[in-house]
Amino acid sequence: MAEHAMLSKKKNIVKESSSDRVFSFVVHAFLVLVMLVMIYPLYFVVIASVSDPFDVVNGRVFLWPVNFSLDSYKHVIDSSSIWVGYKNTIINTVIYVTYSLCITIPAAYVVAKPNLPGRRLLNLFFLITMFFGGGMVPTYLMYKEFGLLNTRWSLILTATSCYNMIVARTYFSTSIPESLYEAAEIDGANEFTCFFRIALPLSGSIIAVIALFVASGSWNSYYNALLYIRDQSLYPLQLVLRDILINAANAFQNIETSSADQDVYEQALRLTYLAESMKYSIIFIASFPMLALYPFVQKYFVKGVMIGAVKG
Amino acid sequence: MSKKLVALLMAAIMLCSFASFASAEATYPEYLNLVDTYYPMVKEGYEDKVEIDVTIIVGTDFSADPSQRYFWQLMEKVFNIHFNVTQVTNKEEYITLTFAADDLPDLILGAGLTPAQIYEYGVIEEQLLDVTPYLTPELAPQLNKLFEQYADLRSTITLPNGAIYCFPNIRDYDNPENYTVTSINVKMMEEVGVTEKPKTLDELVDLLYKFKALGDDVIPLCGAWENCNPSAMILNALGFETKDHTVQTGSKVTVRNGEVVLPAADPVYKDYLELMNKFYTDGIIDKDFFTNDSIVLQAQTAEKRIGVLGQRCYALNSNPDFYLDFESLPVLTSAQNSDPFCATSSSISFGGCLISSKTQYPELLVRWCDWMVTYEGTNAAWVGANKYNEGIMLEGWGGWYMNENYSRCDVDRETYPEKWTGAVQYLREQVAGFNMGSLGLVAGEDWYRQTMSGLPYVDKTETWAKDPMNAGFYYRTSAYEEYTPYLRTDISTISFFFDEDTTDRIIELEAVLKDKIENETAKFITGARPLSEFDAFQEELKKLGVEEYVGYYAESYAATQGK
Repeated sequence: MAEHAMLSKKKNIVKESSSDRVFSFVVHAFLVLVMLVMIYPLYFVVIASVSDPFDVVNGRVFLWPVNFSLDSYKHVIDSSSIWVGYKNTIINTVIYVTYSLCITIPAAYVVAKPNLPGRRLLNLFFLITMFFGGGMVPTYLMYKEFGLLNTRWSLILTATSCYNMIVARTYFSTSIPESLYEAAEIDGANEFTCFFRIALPLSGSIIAVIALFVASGSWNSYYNALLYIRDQSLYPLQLVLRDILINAANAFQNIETSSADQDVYEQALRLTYLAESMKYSIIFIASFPMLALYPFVQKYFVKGVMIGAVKG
Repeated sequence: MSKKLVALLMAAIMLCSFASFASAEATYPEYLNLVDTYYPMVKEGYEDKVEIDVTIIVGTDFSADPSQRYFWQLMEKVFNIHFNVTQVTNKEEYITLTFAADDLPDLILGAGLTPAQIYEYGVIEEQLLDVTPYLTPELAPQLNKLFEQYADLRSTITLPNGAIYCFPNIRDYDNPENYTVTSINVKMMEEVGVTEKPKTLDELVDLLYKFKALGDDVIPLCGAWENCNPSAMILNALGFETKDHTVQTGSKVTVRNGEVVLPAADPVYKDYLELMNKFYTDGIIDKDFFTNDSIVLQAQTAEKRIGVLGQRCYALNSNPDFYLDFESLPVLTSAQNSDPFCATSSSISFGGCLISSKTQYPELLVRWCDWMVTYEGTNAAWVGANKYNEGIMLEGWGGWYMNENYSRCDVDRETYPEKWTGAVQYLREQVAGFNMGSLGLVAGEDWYRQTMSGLPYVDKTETWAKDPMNAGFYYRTSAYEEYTPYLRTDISTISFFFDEDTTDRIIELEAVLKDKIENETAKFITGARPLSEFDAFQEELKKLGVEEYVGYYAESYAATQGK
C-alpha cells in the first residue's frame, strides 16, 4: 500500500525542465538579493553600534564589528533619564492603545451598520478629518484650554487614526455576516449584546492588527511630546534619546571656554565622536522592545494585514 | 479787594502746578525694595507672594529640576522672588507656539531672537515689553552706567521706533572667541623650510603646495563646507568682511571697501572660486569637502597630518601632541585687498532676554535684569557666588574663587572630585540659572573675579600665559597676538530692522538666492560648471533679484552708519 502511494505520488510530480530550473534559480537569487538589501541596513545598525566610532566614521565596518566596544550603549544606559523615558513610553503606549481601541472598534462597528441613520454624513466627517487637521497652533491652543499642556494626557488623548477605523469597518461589514446579528436579535439581543457577544469575539485578528499599528506609532512618536511636554519627568523614550544624542553631538560647541579645563575639551570631543556610534545604539535601544514583541503578534498580523483590503 | 482775590487765585494756581509737578515723579510698586545691593528685591514681609513665570531655554545637559540649582534658590531665599521656572530644550518649536498662541510667561531667557523677530513680536504684535520708560536711574542704575561706558550700546539695542525690548549681553570686544580664526602647522612649516608665517594669500597658496609635496598623508588645507570651512579666511583676504559661517557660501550680505555687497554677486568672488577650484583639483582640499562633517574631520586629524585648519587648533583634536604644533595664521592680504583686517563679532548682543508686555511686574523685572548686567549678577547666573561674597552665598554651596594661577576653581568640585567630570557638568547640574549669553556683563569680568578673590589684577593675556597647556588659553594667546591689532566688526552682527513688507520680501529673495548661490558655488569649485560661465552666473543672480536684495541692506546699513 505504501508502495502504491509512492507510485501515485511519483505519477503526480511534474518533471522540471531546465528552463524551469533556471527560472527558479533566478527568482531565488533575486529574492535573496532583495532580502540582503532589506536586512543589511538592520544588520549594519547592530554591528556599527558595537564598533569603535573611529572605525565607523572611517567606513571600516562592513560585515563584522571592528574593535568591539560597548561604550555607546554604556553612555546611553548610564543616563538615568532613559529609564524614565522607558517607563513613560510604556505607560503612554498601553493607555493609548486601550483608548484607541475603545474609540476605533465601536465606531467601526456602528458605521458598518447599513441601516444607520446619517451613515453617509458620519463617513464624510471621518474622511474629512482623516485628510485635514487644525494645524499645530490651533491644536496647541485647544490643549491649553483643556489644561492638557505638560501632562501625560496630551500624548494620550490625541486624535485616533481614521484609517484604522475604516479598516475595522470593512472587516465588520465583510467578515461577519448580517444574518448572525439577525439571529441574535430574534433571540432578544440588543446592539450592545451583538457588539460584545458576537462582533468583539470574532474580531481578534483585527484588534491585534490595529493594536500593533497604534502601539508602534505611539512607541515611536516624539513630536507631540516636543510640543506639549516641558516636564522632563514626563518625557517619552524617543525624546530622551533625542536629547542624549543632541547633547553628545553638540558637546564641543556647548563648552563655555571661560570655565573650561583641558580635560573638559577632551571629554567633549570624545563625546562628539561617540555620538556617531550612539546613533546606532539608540536605534537599537528604541526599537528592541517592538522587535521583541512582534513574534508574538505576528500570526495575527499576517492574518489581519489584508483585512479591510478585500471586499466581498 | 479784587486785587487780593486775584493774587490769592494766582497763588492757588501756582500751588496746584507745583503739586502736579510733584506728582510727575516716578512711583514704584510697594513691594519693590530699591537698595544699592539689589537684594532683597521684594521687601521682606510683603503680604503677597511675588511670583514670576519664567521660561528658560537651555541645552539638554542642564539638570531636569531647575529649582535644585543654586541660582533659582538664590532668587527665592535672598531676592525674595518666587520664580516658577519652566525649562525647555526645543527652542524653535517653543518660540513659534508661544508667540502664535500669545501664551508668553512673564520672562523668557535664552530665546535668542533675531532683530527681525524682535521687531515682529515687539513692534508689530506688541507682545514684548518696551522697557524704555522703566530705565530710570533709580530702577536701572547699572544699565544707565553701561550706556555711558559703551557709546554704541543704546543705539545697538534700540529699535527704529525708539523702543528697547531686550537687555544686552556685553562681551569683550577683543575676545578671540569672536574672531575668524585659522590655524597653521608651524612644525610642518619648518619641515618645508619656511620660517615665517605667510602674510598674503599668494604666500599661503605656495606654502599649501609645499605641504602637499610632503606626501599623501598630508591634508594641506583641512576643513569642510559645513565645518571648519576655510572660505572665510580667503574671503577676508579678498576684502570681504565676514566671520559668519553662512557668508562662506557667498549668500549673505557683507561689506567690502565700505560698501554693502553680496559676495557671490561681486566680481572678486570669481577669484575665490578659481582658487577653491584649483585647491579641489590639485587635492589641496579633500575631495569630500562638501559632504564631510566634524566627525570625519576629527578622524582626519587623528590619521593624517594637517597643514592649515580653518578653525581653532584644538577644535577637532584636543590632544596636545596635535594642537601644540599649530599657531594662528596671520591676517592675510591679497592682490585684491591690501588692507589687512580680522572680522569679529560685535561685543554687544541682545534678544536672549524677553519680558512680556502683559506682565504684572514690569518694574521688578527691569530691576532684576539690571542686576543681571552687573558682574555679580552675571557670575551668579552662570558660575554662582564667589566664596567670599556673603551677600549671595547660600548654605550648602561652596562657591568659586580664583587660585594663584588665576584659574577659576569650584569649591564643591574640589571637595567631591568624583562627582562631576568637569566644570561645565557641575555648573549645568548644580549652579547655573540659564544659558550663558542670554544677558549679562562679561566684558572685563576678569577684574571682578580677581578682585573678589583677593588677587592683584592681571590682564587676561597674562592669565592665559599661566596655563599654556590649556588648549583654550593656548589658542587664545596666539590668536590675540595675530588678530587683535586688525579687528573690524563683522557687518552680519549689525541689527537690521525692516518693516513687515520688506522683511517678507527679503525672506522671499533670500530663499531663492541662497539655494542658487550654494549650488552654483559647489559646481564651480568641483568643476561641474566651468568658471568661464561666471558672468552668466552673475546675470542669473540679477534676474533673481540680487540687486533689490542688496539694496535693502545697503539702505539700512547707511542708516546705521549715520546713527
